[in-house]
Amino acid sequence: MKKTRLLIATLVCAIMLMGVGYAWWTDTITLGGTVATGHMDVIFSQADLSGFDSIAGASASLSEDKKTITCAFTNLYPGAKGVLNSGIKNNSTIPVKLSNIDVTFTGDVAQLEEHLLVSLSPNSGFVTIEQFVNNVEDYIDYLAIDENVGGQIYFKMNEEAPNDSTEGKSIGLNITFDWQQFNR
Amino acid sequence: MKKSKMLIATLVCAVMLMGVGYAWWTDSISLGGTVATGNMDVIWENYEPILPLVLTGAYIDADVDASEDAIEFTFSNLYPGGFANIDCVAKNESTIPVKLKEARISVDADAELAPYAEVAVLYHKVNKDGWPVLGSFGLTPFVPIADLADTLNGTALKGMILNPGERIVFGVPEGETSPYDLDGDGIGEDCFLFRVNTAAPNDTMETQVDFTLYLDWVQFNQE
Repeated sequence: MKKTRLLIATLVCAIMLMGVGYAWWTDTITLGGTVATGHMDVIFSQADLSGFDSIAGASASLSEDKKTITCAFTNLYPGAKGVLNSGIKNNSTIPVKLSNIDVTFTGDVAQLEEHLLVSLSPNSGFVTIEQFVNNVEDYIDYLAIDENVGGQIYFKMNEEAPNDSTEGKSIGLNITFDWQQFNR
Repeated sequence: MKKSKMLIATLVCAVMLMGVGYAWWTDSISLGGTVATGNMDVIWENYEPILPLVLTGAYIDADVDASEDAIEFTFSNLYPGGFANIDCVAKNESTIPVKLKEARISVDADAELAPYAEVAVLYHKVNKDGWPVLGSFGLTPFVPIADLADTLNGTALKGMILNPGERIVFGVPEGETSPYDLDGDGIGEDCFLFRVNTAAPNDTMETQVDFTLYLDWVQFNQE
C-alpha cells in the first residue's frame, strides 16, 4: 500500500515538473525554400541534302534524338556537289557554348577523305572536312536560349581527284557537336 | 437547573469578552500590485522588396514570399555553378532576451540533386542601435542543404543571445569579406548562399530540393 502511494506521488510530481518544462516561452521562425535546376538540350533542327544531281548519290539522316546527322555519299565524281541544309537549336534554359566537334568517317576514308570538300559558300572556300572542323568555331561557338541557327554546308568532290584512287569508292561521315553550359 | 444557569452565565461572559476583543485598537498596511508579463517574439524583418533581398546569378529565376514568421522562396533554373542568395535579418522584438535553442530542417529532395544542392551561411549580430557586434561574424562551409541545421548548430549561432532590439544579420559586416566569390567579379557573395556544385552530373537537370529551416528560440534564462 505504501509503495502504491509512493508511486502515485512520484508520477504526480513528474507530471507537474513536465508541466513546468513546457511552460517556458518559445518562438520559431522559418526559412522555406525550393532550389530547382533547369536543363540543357541542343539539337539539330533539320538535315536535308539537296543539289546533288541524279548521278551522284547522297543522303543525310537525323537521329531520333536529333543529336547526330549521318551523311552518306556514293557514286560521287570529281565536281559533283550538293548542299546540306541544317540548323542547330538551343532548347536549354541556359545559354550554351561549343566545346568540341567530333567527325568520324566510314567507308573508303583513305582514298576520299582528302577529296570530299566542304564550304559555307557555294562557290568558294572549299576545304577538307578536317580543316572545316578545325575552323568551325569561327562560325558558331555560342547559342543563346532558344536560339535557332540555320545553316547550309556545301559539299563537293574535288575536281582534281585522281582516277586511279577515287573511282568506285564511297565515304560516309558522322558529325557530332559537343556543347557545354555557358559558364563552364 | 443549576447546570442551565451555569451555561447561561458562561455564554454571557463569552459574549462580553468578544465585545472587549473587538474594542482593541487595530491598524493595517497593505501591499497592492499588478503582475504583468512581457512577450517573446522573434521575427524576420520584412520590408519587401528591400528585405528579404534576393540576388541571383545569370539566368536564374527567383520568387519570394515573406512574413514576419516565415520566408518562402523559390530559386529555379539553377545549373552547375549557378547560385542565388537571400539576404534576411532576424530581430528580437521581445521584451526579454532570447536564445537560439537550435536549428532544425526538413527536406524533400530529388536524390540526384540532393548531394549537389549546397548552401553556406554567413552571419553576424547587430546591436539595437544598428552597430555590428565585434567578434560575432561567422560563416559555414558549403554543405548539402540537408546538412544545414547540423552545420548551423555547430556554430556560435546555437546559443546566441539576442537582447531586445538586437538582430542576427545574415551577411558580412563592414570590414569583413566573404570568401565565396561565385561569379568571379572579385566580390564575395554572402547571406544564405545557395549553389549547385559544379560537379553536378546531367541527371541533376530538372530536379529540385524543397526544405524548411526552423530556428527555434527560447527565453534567455532557459537551460
